[in-house]
Amino acid sequence: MQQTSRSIFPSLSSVRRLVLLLGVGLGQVAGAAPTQPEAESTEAQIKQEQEVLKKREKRAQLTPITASVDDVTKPAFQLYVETDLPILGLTLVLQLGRLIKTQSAYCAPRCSAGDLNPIDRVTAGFYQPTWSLASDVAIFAVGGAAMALLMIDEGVWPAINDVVVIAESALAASAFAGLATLAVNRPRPFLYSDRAPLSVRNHPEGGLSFISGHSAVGFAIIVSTYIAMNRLHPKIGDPLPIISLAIGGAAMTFVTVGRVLGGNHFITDALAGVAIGTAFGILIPALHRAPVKVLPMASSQQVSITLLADF
Amino acid sequence: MMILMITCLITLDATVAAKSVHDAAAASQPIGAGMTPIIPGGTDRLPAYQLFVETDLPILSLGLVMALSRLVRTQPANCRPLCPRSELNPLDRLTAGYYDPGWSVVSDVAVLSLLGGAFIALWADEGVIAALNDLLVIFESALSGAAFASFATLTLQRPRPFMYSTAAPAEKRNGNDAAMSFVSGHSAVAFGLAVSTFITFARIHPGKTWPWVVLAATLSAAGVVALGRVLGGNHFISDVVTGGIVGASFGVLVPAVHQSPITVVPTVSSQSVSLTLMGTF
Repeated sequence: MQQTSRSIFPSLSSVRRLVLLLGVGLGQVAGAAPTQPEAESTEAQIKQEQEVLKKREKRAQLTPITASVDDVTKPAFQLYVETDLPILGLTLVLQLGRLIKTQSAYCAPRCSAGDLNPIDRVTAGFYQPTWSLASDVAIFAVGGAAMALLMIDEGVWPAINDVVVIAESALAASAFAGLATLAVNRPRPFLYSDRAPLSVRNHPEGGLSFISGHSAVGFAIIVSTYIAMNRLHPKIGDPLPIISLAIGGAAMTFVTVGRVLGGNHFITDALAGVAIGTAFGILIPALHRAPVKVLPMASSQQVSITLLADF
Repeated sequence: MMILMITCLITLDATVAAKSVHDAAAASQPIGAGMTPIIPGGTDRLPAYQLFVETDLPILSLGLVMALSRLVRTQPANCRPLCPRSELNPLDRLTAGYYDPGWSVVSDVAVLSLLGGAFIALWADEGVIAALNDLLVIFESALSGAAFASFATLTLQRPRPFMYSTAAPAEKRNGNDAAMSFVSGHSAVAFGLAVSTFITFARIHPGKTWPWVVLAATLSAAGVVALGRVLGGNHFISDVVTGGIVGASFGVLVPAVHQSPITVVPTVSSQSVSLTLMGTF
């Protein structure tokens, strides 16, 4: 859209130049035409200003990271230095917030279930380390499977390009979940019984229940992978994107249930994680357009398609 | 994003042009990387805002989770059941200890009236379908304000004014809602609704002065909300002033990220003068 606007209004970008042109035009109307050398110098000045404006416009453009110039249908997302580096930097730093927390849950080592809503009271006191381990393994498997799927589908370099966007979705979801857990300071379900060892209940991690980071990260991965697959396979009826979403959804349901049964999160924490993960899984890919843009143009004389790409 | 351009003569009226754009969109092929527009059917009226699945769904989803996160908090105020007034700044000390549940009800009713009033006014102005489309953006403005306020209250854990006297029942002062004073969520929501409702009417009726009357009315109602929160002992003056700033900011920002369904670009050449209508599908 910006490129279209630029091509329509190439001459409206400099007030100075407009004033200059207006001055020349008025001078001509009044019959006070400039002498030959004056006109030449004015023309040269306009040309010089145009050059400066062109350079300024070029400077203001984003720097594309090009993964593949051989096949314009790959990768699914266009990366830019100026947007993707800050997204990665900020979300990575925000991951560290929970690691430096030293305060235990406010009611450690044992909290009262009377404070909880009826849904969350159902799982209060759960503690099962095996389920926690299973959910950890499953979430790594989901991430690895997403990477493997893209590598098989589009080759190594385009896949790495697209994995950056999927990782950004996961990191953004994790950063948001991390900030929420620190702000809400909700005790985990295992603080509502004596099943967990005291060292676990008194650990600073004990007050980081809301939102479930595992659910947020996992759902961000499967939704953004689905969007990548959907872009790579735009043909209607191609089952691959929806199959990838179905398998990912099943795996992530397992992870989410594992977090609740393991006593790490309440049901509401897990559901909020699903909502956050899905939201970032949609939002981050939406901020990354395809490397090639198709622009159909229709007029009374002709119908054409213009391909726009950054190199 | 797929951009469809249809050049029309300057004499085409908006309804005909909009119909042409919709017809052309229906005939166009989807592109994988494009945004998915939400186009309300069953109406000839163009709403003020274009909704997209890829932006509006995350705004609603993230906003709802953030706004509701305060409901799961169980931790009471650190200084319960009575906090020392000496901690407060001189301005907020003026209302420390206030408690009046009647004013809290007034502010609740005023917030709901703002939302209901916006919907009824839009319905009367542009029909129910277009009104629902635009109300979603107004709701998103309010929700974003509530989400921001919710995160601020959870992080800062400021005790409410009623914690500074024994006027409120002990149960309330020992409750898990007692340390959520800064920022006022009600004020953020009310000012978000007030400003975004004004922007919506100003878009639908460009150049008219009566949207400013709408702004005066909605800001007055938002002022009642803020006053009710202070007199009810739920928030200090600084909480409602900052809540108002947060709400007004989202009231401007959220409509601004929603473009109009149709963009009109004037094109002038030596041969003709035309208007280009750009619709995003």
